[in-house]
Amino acid sequence: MDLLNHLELGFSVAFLPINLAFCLLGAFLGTVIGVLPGIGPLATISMLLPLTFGLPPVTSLIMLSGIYYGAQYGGSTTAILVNLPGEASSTVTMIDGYQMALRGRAGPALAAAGLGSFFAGTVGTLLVAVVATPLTALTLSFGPTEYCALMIIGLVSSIALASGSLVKAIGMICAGLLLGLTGTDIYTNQPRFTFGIVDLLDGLDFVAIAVGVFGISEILRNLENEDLPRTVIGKVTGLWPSRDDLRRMIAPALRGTAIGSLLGVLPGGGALLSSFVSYNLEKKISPNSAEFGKGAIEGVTAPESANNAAAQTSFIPMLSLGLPATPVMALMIGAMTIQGITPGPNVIVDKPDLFWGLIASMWIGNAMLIVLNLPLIGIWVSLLRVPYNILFPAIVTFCCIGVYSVSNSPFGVYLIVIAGLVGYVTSKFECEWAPFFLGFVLGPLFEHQLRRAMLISGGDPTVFLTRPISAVLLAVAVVVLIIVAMPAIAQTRKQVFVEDQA
Amino acid sequence: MAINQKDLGAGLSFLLLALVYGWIAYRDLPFGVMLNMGPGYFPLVLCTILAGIGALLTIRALLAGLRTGLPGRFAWRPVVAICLAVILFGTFLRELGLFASVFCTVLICSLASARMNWLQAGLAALMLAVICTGVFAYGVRLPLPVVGTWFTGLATWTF
Repeated sequence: MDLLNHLELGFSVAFLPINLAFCLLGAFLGTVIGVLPGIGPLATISMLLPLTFGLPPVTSLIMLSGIYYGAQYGGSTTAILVNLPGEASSTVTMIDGYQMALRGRAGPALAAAGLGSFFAGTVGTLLVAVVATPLTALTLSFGPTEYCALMIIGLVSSIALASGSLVKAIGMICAGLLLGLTGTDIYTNQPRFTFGIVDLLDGLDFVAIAVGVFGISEILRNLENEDLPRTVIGKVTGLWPSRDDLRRMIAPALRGTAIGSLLGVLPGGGALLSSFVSYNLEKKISPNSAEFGKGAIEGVTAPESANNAAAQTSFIPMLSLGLPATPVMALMIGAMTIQGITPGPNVIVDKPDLFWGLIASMWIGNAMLIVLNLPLIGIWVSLLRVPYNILFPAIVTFCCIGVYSVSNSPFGVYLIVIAGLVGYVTSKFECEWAPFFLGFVLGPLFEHQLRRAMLISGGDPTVFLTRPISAVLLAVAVVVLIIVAMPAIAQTRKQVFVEDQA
Repeated sequence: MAINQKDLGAGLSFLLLALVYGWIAYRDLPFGVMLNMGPGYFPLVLCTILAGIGALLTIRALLAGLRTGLPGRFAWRPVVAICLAVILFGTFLRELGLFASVFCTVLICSLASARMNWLQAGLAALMLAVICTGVFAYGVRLPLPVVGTWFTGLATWTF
């Protein structure tokens, strides 16, 4: 069987001692940074990106995905032990996780999150492996028209997945597309929106903006109410869940994984939505629904499984199409480009060892997280005890070093300040940044494919409707948009995100 | 007058971006035709949509019957301290070198917290400077100078 051969190749690459070592290091460092409150996967990867520069391509990507899982998992630890979301998608874990911790069941809560994530990660990885080859074969026949239509679906679903106002989400996408165009126009060599600054000829630095918006402005927000007391759960005892706990975890883990896998493929933050959806689903159908909000283990298992499954399947569009579905995937694409690899359907053909090695290491990374997190929980607890007024200068410094070494000029660092300030101010207006980043990454790609499509079709915009694949894709986009805009759905959507956030 | 400040802020921000970028695109970049889009085509289309959204939000905010203030207060002290620290890091990294830059950045950053304590901040700064130099300069060998140009001159002069 083809799949088995591929996986064998993958595991032979992933099990090389150097790759194993860097996967472990990545997962460890990812957790260290990800445990810090307010630092999500995107900021963590941006900060740690320079660490991977000197490595061979396969190893560096493996390390980066290790960092990604580590950061994702670290966020749940923070949510359970400190009642602060380490990242947006663990907001829901906080509700029951922290309650469990208050009742002296922090150990089982952490184990539930870990085991649920591991199970979901395994399923997600298998799914990526199964879907990758046929999807890649399909997309090799894609022309510029189809790519445009595909990107429109991506942008539309990121509107659907944004948690705030729809109009603002559309605005943020447009702003992202627009700012993404900064730099030299590849058709005419004309500089656009560079304000005469040489550093801007290559475009705005994605890493600097991500670090500014998700790192610096988050710190500023946290410093607003410094005096709020924080209770760190001091001691974690009795890590292993009881037989009863295990029994109660199975069904939520399965449902969470299914929801996460499906939503994760959608562009623009499937992880966040899937954790909300699966939590609400469990709350409705669980036999113990009365316990929800008071420390139900189902309320930890389901969203954690869901967001990890989504983290996994969000690799699918990136690996098979070269299209980033989330800002994190955009960073991965950036990292691949730095290593001299053009992401897209060709990778699977030209560099099978890299492709399958990465997939195999996803599973290994997930397994390592369990090995790493449960026994080392003491370290994370003590890390969480470090006072915030020592932590945040350290985070700011890591951000600076990370960005400076990527952009190699002071300008990139100034960009952090600008992005941080803009991010801080707009957070007061309740503008969400996930749609912005999707637009930012897709901006130049979209314009490029649009211009190509128009050149090929002779300036005929109806080509989007006359070519079958693109017509179908656009129809899907329209349907999604209509569904999202329907008042009834908009109401439920608001509830899904708001209901449990308090 | 009843104003929804969140929507107003967002609307005005979008309008500002759309107008500035739209004006630049209109002034500097050829629009082209649909068959052969110029560098100004896509940006101008985007700016038009963005301006529309900005206007919609602004008008809606002005008509809203509910006064909603902005959440939280504005953290002036952290904003000033952290921005200053980051700007200094970027500007003087070559001159100060990694070790001294990290030390200064951490120290200035610490001023953002009202609970800042010089001894604690100084110790943290020293520790981070050692760790960062070790990990980033010697560990992963990023091409960052450990000792800046200001001090290399000093060293040759002293010894």
